[in-house]
Amino acid sequence: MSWPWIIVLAVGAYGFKLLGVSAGSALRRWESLTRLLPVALFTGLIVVLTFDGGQTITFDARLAGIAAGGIVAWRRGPFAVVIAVAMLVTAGVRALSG
Amino acid sequence: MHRRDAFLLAAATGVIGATFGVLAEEAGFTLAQAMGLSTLVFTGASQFAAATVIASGGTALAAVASGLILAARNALYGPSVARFLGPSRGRRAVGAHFVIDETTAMALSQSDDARSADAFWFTGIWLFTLWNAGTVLGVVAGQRIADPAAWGLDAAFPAAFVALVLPLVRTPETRRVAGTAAVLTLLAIPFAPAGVPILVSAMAVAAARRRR
Repeated sequence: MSWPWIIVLAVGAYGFKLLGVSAGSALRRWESLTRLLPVALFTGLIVVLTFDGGQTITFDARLAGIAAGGIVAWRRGPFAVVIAVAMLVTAGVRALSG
Repeated sequence: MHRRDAFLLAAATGVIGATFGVLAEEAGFTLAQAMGLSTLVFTGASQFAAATVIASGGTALAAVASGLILAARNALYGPSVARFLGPSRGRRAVGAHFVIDETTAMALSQSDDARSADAFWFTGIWLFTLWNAGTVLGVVAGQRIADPAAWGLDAAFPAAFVALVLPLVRTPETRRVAGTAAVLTLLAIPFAPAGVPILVSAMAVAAARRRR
C-alpha cells in the first residue's frame, strides 16, 4: 500500500471524526448501521485470518490457537493472556505437526 | 482517579499497537508507513483491517475501503464529544483527531463535563503517544523475527479481534450479524479475489436488518 493510499485513508478517517464533532444530532439515523458494521467486519477479519489459505478454506494450527485464545477471551481473561495462549497453542501445534 | 484508569487503558492500547506494528511489517509496510498510519489515520480497527487486507494479498483499494467502513463509526462519537470540547474551532479540529472508541468511552464515563473534557484529552494524548511507540516497537521486532509463523504470530491478530468483538455481540441482533458475516465471508473466500471477502462481510448488516 503506497503513500497516496495511506493519505486517502488518513483524510477519510479524519473526515469522519470531524463530521461527527461538527454535525450535531443529524447523524442519529445512521446509528444502528455504524454500530453493526464493526461487528460484521471484525467477524469477517477473524474468518479470513483463521481459514483463508489463499482462495481455499484451510484448517491448520491457526484454528487451534485462535479457538484457545477465544475461550480465554470468552472467560474474560486479560487481553495479554488471550494473545499469549493463541500464539503458544498455534506454535505448539505447528511444531508437533510440522 | 480517572487519570490512572486512562493511563492504564492507554498502556494496554500500546501493547495492541505493537501487534499492529508486527502485522504492518509483515504486510510489507515500511517503518515510516506504519508510523504514518498510526499518527495520521489513528483509529486502530481501520489500521488493522487495511493491513490485514494487504497481508492477505488484497488490493490497496480494498484495504482503504475496509478501513474507511470501520472509520465511519467514529463520526457517531462526535456529537457527544462535541458537547464538552467547547465552541473553539481550533480545539474541535485538534480534538476530532482523538475521537476514537477508547477516548469516547473514557470521557463519557465521567460524572460532569469538566471531568469528561479532562479524561478525553488525557486519554487522547497518552493513547496517541503509546499507540505510536507500540507501533515502532512492533515494526522493529517484526524485522528481527525471521519466521513469524513459528512463533504463532499469525494467530495473535485474529485472537485479538475475537477479544475485541466478544463484548460487541451481546444482543440477538449483533449475534445474527456476526453469524451472517462469518458465513458470507467463508462462502466468499474460494471465489472472491483476496481482500474482497472482508468487504463481503459488511453485507451481513443489510441481510440481518432485512430479516427483521
